[in-house]
Amino acid sequence: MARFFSLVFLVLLASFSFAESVPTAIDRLIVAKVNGAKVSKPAEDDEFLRRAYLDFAGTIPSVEQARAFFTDKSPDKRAKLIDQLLASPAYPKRMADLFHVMLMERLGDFPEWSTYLKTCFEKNTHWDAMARDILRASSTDAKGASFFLSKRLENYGQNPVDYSALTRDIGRLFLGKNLQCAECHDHLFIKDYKQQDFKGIHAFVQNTYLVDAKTAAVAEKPTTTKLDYMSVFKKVPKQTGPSLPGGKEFEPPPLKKGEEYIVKPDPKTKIPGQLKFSPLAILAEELPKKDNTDFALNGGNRIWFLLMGRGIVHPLDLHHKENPASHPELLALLAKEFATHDFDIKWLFKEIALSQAYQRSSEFPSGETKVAPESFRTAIEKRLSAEQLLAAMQQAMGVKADAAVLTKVNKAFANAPREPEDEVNPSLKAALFLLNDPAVLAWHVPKGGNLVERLGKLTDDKIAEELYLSVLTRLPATDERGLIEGYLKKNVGEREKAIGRLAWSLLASAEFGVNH
Amino acid sequence: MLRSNLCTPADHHLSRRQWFGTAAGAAFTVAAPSFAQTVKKKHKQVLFVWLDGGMSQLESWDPKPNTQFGGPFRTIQTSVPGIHVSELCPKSAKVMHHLALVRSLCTQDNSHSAGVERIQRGDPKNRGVTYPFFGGAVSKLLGNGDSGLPPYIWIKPMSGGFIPKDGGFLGPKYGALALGDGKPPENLLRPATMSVAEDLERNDLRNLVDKRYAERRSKENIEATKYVFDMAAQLQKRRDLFEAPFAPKDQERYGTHDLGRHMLLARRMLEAGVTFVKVNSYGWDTHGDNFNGQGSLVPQFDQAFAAMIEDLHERGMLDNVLVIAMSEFGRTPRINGHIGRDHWPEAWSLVTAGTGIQKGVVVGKTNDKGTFVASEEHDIGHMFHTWFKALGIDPKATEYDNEGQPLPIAHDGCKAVKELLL
Amino acid sequence: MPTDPKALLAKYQPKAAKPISLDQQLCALRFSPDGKTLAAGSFEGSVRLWDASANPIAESPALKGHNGWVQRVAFHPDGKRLISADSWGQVMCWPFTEKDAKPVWSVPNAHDSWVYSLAISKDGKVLATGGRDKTIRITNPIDGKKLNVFNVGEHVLTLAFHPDGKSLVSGDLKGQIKQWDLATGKVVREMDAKEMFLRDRIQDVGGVRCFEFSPDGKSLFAGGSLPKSGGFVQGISLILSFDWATGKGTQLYKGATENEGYVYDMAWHSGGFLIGITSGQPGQGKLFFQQPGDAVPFYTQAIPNPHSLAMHPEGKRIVLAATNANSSGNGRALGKNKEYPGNFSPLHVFDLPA
Repeated sequence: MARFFSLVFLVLLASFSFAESVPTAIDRLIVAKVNGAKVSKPAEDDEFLRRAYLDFAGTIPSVEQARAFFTDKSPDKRAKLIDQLLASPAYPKRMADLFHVMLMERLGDFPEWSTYLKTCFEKNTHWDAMARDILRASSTDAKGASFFLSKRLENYGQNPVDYSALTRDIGRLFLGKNLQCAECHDHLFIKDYKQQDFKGIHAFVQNTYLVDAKTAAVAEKPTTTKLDYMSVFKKVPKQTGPSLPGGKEFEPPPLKKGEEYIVKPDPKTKIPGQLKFSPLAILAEELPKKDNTDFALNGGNRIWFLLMGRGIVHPLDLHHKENPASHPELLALLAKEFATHDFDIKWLFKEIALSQAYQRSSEFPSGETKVAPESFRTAIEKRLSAEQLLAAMQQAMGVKADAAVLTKVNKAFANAPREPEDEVNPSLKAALFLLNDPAVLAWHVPKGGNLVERLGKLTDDKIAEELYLSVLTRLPATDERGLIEGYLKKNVGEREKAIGRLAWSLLASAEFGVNH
Repeated sequence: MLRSNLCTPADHHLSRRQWFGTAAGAAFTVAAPSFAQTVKKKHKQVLFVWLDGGMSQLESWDPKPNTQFGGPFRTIQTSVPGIHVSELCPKSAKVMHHLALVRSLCTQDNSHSAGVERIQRGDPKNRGVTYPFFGGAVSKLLGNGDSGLPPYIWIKPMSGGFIPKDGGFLGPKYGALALGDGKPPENLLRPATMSVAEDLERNDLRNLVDKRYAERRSKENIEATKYVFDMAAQLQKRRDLFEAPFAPKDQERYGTHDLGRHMLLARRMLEAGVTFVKVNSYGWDTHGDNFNGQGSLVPQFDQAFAAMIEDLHERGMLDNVLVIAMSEFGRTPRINGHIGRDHWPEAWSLVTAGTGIQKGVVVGKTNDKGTFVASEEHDIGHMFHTWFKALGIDPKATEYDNEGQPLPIAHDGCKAVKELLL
Repeated sequence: MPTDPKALLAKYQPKAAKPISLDQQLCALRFSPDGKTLAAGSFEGSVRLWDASANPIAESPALKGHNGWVQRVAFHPDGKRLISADSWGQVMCWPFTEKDAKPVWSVPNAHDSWVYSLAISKDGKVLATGGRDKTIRITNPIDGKKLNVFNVGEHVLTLAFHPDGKSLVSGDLKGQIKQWDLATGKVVREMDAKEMFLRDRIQDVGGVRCFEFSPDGKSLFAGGSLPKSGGFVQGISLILSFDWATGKGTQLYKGATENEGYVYDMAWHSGGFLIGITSGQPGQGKLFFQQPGDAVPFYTQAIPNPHSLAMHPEGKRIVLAATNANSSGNGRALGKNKEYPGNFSPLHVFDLPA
């Protein structure tokens, strides 16, 4: 892989001027491909504010925060807001949720894992260091990080441990390559994906096992031979030691039984021993290296996706020649710069967020009814995670939700385990939750200073503004003001209930349900 | 036939965003537009009973008593002279004149994780897309009918919800509405404190907000949102389906166990006009103690299934309803050390009945020991062709249109099993 | 007073002979009262016989006439007759010592279906069989005539006579143990082994699988498992010991893992301990010697999937019907000759020092 890396970048970066800032380069490279088409107008302050809050703080701003931002006249207020959000205590919490959902795909929860992730973002631990912790899965260092492996090493129902799925997930999430269909033969449709690639990664994890699900402890049995495999089509026996796609093969030394350990494992304390040849240690060291193109491209692409709603390579886990990047030079730039900055996630977030592409409106350019998402001419609506939704709902409605509601929201809005949450996907269960769940309905009854109570104390002409600012983080348009005043007038006999219904209609709206 | 560990079509997934495009847009067309009208004359429906984990063919439809792998059970006569089944199926034996047995299934996958999906998607040739499950396919091809209910309802133990993946590339709209333990989806019922008028009013307001929001934006999100809220409203109107009690006599006939209760609810859903009803039973994977296991499971299926056949017949519904009961594979002839049977896709059986299907027939046979098919082998693709035909859909002339990509609705290397069709 | 387990092991350390291979799978295995004959019920409708006085034991012609599985065999105390029962409901009585033995009597439909259990009273006057038809049939073992039928209401998986000859106990699928008065056909009392049953989804799993009385009649041992799941049937093997006087049950033996499955058979050894076998997931299973009161067995030997255990009347030898290795697997795995292979039950012979 190392040998390809510099070559790829030399070709792709030929047009990149090093004096140019990253946000400028992003916009130059996107505009270069619009072929004369228009891009959407810049997002207004309200749309930008809501987007940035949801992306970096995991919730929407309060009415006061919104008003303050709208009245701020300083020209660099957007950049300042981004800095402020990235430095706020909400940022590590939001990122812990976000990376949890991305890396665990709702397989399960583990408090120490959440703490690990949160701490990483508090300290701004870089992505390569996180990858090292996660793949090393040590039970002593970086406690909780081993959950990525340990959860995948559990039996799933009555099925044996699914090592193929673990192999696939390492490829998907850290290298951007879903090699699942190359397990039994070279991929039938993707020429770049070889059985060797799958087996090489598989050889890193084939001897890992779960020591204790309660502590997420993972250990390795000694690896003393190469992994045997054979294509189901060409029945030629092959072997491989641990290796990354296109990378060096690590040959297991032929250690005799009893001589594999530097420190033998202790079955009583369940502390795994220290192997002379540890494929996991090699994986953790080799995979996140700067010269691993796959790692850098995947990292850059995923960070881009998190803010922009679509990967430059999409789907995120199908990096290969026949699924080319929509903007190859842009992806190369992001990967290169990400690597140059030692995989500093926060840095890359900021660079992307400062671009015009990030700060565009989600409304189509005037006169257009369809914009291909991969053009990035218009901001893409992003799915709100269950965690973001719940936080935003509480903020909007001025309520506090307990753990039971959190469980319900997760059930209604999260995907099933193993289903990546990378697209907006309205569902019946979510609709029913919004329509009829007692917790949601209770939010619409005036109580304890909640939104509906607050609105009830206002005169009719003031309600629309407070309502729209609270729920949708924007001021109502004239027609919307008219509608609300008219509705209140019509329902003067049951004003409270009418206010509740109005609030509900915004909370249950598609506009609230996405990050647009 | 090619035997390999080929990965499933599901693995070559397109992005779900692309599915969505299909679901929300009007990309679907059929090559033979006349069929929709033909079908409309009398709405066809499907009852699909899925015994997850693998029913043993040797302890049900294809017994081999007194042979090496035959196991302990005897055979019994059925209402059709010459057809025998396991003694564990006494009630189905009595309605055999309505049924067709297929004893010549030979399919491609011996693992559950892949097998369940491959079978329920009809295991078509790989086109790089994720095919819909049979329920999603039939929903698309036959439509909702006049029931006002979602076209694809899945009655299953444990949890329910909306299962978009069954729609495959057709989109989440053709996914299943799963009734966990036969119960309505969580939060289906409007609280008593809210009137119908209030409910309508708040939704009218919401639609206004959504309409305005979507004016200058992509329509996909808003259409999908509208679809799910409309479905919620439709279901709300038919809350009687979930609330009315069943006659004690029926409960006794179908059995008070999960499968019996769920089958009885399925009858009500079919009577209400739902296009495709799947009833799911789990726990058929009897790798251990198979003979006590299947000995416990099969009679409970037998009771509920035979009661359903009797009732559909009595109501004249077998003329319109296609009935299928099957698993993802059969079970090994070989009896393992835990006195269990493992997974066996090589030679197994299913039962089908109803619209378009021959009555009182057996198609195909296995050899004397029950190890392999001794007649023409039938893959699941053959069965999909057969079932589509039985529903009045010509699988050769009908295609999906996946945004310009024409796709056959069933494996184009397979064909219908003539002996099964009327 | 319990004996020191180490002393017991030193005294009874079993010595394994070379396993005897076989071409079929077996359900049941028993020694004749004189120890000279070994009989087994097979999966293919026959009763296999061996001359157990030969070394190694030598097979003699099988008794044919059963259908399905011959689930149980038992020798009559007179040493001249062998009773066998099959899964199609037939019970037969054989003069097994005769050449080309023909049945003394045969009752084709003694039960409506699978006969799971069989016991003969010590005085040889009563034969009891129990089945999937949820009844116990009381039969005269001399002529096969029906004497009575008890309605149990559940699958009768195991039966045993109390050494006093007055009582019969039945163990059923749901983990219920019932004591029957032979004279009246009434249930005298019930003992609870419900932990041996599990309703998993819609599958009934487990049940009381075997009984053994201590020779003094003071304890009834019930073998089975703590079932954890249907399907694969995971379970922790278990023996409960019931005090005959009070009916109170205590745990005598509990396995370590869910892979061990059922205690399928037991025999009391005159040295004061119980010999048991467990069989669970393919390849799993063991033979163990457990002294009542000890926390763990003093002897354990892994054996792949034993299902029946026969003890020589003098306690000097035990034979297990087990299973070959690699007995499981999904899909088409053909043998070297391209034939689809069946499994078989090798006999494991252990000699115990006298």
